[in-house]
Amino acid sequence: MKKYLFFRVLRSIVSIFLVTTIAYIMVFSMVPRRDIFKQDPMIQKLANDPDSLTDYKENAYRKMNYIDYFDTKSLIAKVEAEHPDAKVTTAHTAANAKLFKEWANDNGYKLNRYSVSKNYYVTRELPLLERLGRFYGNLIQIDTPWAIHDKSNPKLARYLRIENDKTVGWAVVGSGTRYRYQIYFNGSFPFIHQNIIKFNLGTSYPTFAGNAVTDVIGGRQGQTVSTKYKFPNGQVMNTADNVYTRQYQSPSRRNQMSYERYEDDYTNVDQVNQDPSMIGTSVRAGFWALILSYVIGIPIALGMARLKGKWFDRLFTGVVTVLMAVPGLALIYTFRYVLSVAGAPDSFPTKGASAFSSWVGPTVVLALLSVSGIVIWFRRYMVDQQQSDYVKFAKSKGLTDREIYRKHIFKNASIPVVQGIPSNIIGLISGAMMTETVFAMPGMGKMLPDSIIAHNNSVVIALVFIFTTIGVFSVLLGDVLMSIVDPRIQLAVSGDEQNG
Amino acid sequence: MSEEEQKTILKVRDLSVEFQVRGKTLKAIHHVSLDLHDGETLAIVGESGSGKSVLTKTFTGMLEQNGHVSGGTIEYNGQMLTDLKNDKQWVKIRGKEIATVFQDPMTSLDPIHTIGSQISEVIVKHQGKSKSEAKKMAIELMGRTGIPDAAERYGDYPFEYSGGMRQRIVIAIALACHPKILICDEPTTALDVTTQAQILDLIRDLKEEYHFSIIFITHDLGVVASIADRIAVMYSGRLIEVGTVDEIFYDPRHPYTWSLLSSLPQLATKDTNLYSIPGTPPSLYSEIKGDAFAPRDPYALKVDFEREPPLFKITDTHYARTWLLDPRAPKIEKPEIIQNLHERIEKQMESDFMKRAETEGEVNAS
Repeated sequence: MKKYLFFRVLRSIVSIFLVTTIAYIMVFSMVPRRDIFKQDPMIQKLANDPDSLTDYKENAYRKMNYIDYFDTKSLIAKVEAEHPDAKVTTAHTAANAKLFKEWANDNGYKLNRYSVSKNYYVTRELPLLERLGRFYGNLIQIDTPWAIHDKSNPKLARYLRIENDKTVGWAVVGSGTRYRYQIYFNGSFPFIHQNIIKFNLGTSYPTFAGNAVTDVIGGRQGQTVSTKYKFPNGQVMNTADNVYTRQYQSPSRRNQMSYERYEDDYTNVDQVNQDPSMIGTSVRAGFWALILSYVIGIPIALGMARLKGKWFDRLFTGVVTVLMAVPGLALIYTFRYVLSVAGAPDSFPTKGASAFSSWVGPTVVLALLSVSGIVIWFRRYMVDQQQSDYVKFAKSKGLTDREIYRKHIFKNASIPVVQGIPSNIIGLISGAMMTETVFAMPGMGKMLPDSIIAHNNSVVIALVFIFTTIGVFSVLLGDVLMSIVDPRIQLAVSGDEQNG
Repeated sequence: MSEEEQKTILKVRDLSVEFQVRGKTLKAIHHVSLDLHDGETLAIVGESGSGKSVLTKTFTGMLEQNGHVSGGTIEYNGQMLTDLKNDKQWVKIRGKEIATVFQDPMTSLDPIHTIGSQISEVIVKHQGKSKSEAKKMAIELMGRTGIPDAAERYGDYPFEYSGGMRQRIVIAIALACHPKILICDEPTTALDVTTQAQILDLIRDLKEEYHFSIIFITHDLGVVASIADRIAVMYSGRLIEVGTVDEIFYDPRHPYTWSLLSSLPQLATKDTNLYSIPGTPPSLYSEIKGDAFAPRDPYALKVDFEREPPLFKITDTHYARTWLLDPRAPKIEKPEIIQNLHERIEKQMESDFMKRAETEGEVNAS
């Protein structure tokens, strides 16, 4: 079992890697790169300033990992680093030009000039493999006490220790690390948190320009919320700062007020926002929708199977057939109308994420959309089980129908259902596109099509990566669940020791 | 036979069963009357579709949904089973009074519950024992039905058992509540010959110990000879002959019984073909006129095609439904192949036994 799981996880990781790589190669080689500026308002604004426009575009390409780009200032710095004795300036002299050319040739860069100022800059096309290498190389970032190297702060202490911190209480506190609090506890799920391992999926562009993709997908949204904290200097105040996310800030860019408050160089904090992240919104709605759909679907299927051929069965066969036949969008609008008559807001932002009633519409609609599948299949499995010999025998040994359904048929019929639950969650999260659009819900469902339209390559790749990961592992989870419910199924590689 | 053994535990009178199949009525059981005595083993034989299983299903109210008893009564120990309306009332009979062992042990057990829980489930249900008591009784029962290391194997799942072992478990479950009647619906058909013999031995032993009556459904006359006290022969939903084993084997009266006995594989020798009954059984959808077997009967009289024969009494225990027994009928001898059946079978079994002893000796030696 352990051996099997190990190899299965290994294979899962390989398949995630393959899918992501293929998506990466396709997106970055087949989508014309100039398309990323199609909807960018900055292009219009900079139209009168060709140099800035060039700089803006090359910077954008750099952020998206198409090229390496150094503007004049950085180029001079690079050249000077290589020739410490030479005096390099922006002036268009032959000497400068020679040095730039030399450096560009040595490092494989292409020397260009801005069209107006005629200043030099360099670019280098990143080969696809190098781009991939960077993507995977930066994918997982592990924080260590040796993570920060700051020339302006040579005496930065380097340690990891358990402390009863004044602000956050007991925590694993680091110095020399990117994050101050490596492991900490608080009242929000899952109660134990860490800042040691972080995913870096690149930078979002052109939508959510400049933000880390992980923040775009996983960062909280909406208005900031203030919480009362006691700071290391003893001051107690309300702040929207998320003190748990304190990151290193170089003394060269120190904010004196924050520095006094925290009494160290970890003053770079995120804000606390009130609404869940995009992924959180989708997961929350998807999870409850899943539960709701099974809570509705299973009893109906059970009743239909028990009363097979009777009016109850026929009625719901009709209902389910209609649900499956009518296009999803029509159903969403119909359900939304019905729910709004019942008092639920028909748009998510009307009351916002903090109001329970906002969640009712999307969740119920999502659930109802998947109820029909559950009912059809679970009824089918139950009916199959009803006709099996062991049910006949159970009846002959004197069990009532009720007992037979509860102890035998239900459990047997749930085996295939149990296996499908994790994949169903994925379906609900990633398939919520229409529902989220109709309810104007700030979730992840419509992000993939949105980012494809906006040519936000990094987000596309990140979503492919996330969906693949969840998808692959949910299949694995489904198999594990199934092996728990069904003793006949043992997760083992062939040749593995079978324990009888 | 003593008086007590002759006590009738199950009385079937004039029972008819019909099925509704796609708007048509199928008459599966046609006016059957039958008694089951306390402590006896009654074998019901007949070819596929003759109504053997349907008949016994009516005893436990387990007819398929489209079937119903259209006439007659079944009386068990003074209780009218034909009056039972719903499952709630039947639950008191099923398992507790009348238990059934089905043909295929591979599928008779719930694949995802442990063997033990499936036995103790019944004990808890019918005898109101606590779980730990039930477990103790279940383990005892498992040991009794020949499961080695019963306590350790209590928590095993059916897929970890062989077919023979599973049938032992099925029998253990059936006997868990000490039923008065055990219906064995071809319990050995799906098993190999050696296991078959073991299961038959087991049933016989357990019958001694627990004192129940057996209704044994089979089309294997060899099995019948080794286990039954009485035999009922069925054809097309009709009971055509009933008698003790000796009477049926050595003094059969109905031409169908003759044919059935003639087709015993034990009677075929190297140089003769195995006898088979020509033709097919009649359709049960239409009303059968006269003797149902008449069209396939080489001895059929004219009257056989016109009127249904009554049940003629031959001895106190032997009855047959054929016009040949009418005083006006011509005297017809049973076919030659089944004369001296006793000697023939004995001879055959002897040589079989010798052969088996030889092969077993070889197996043991190796």
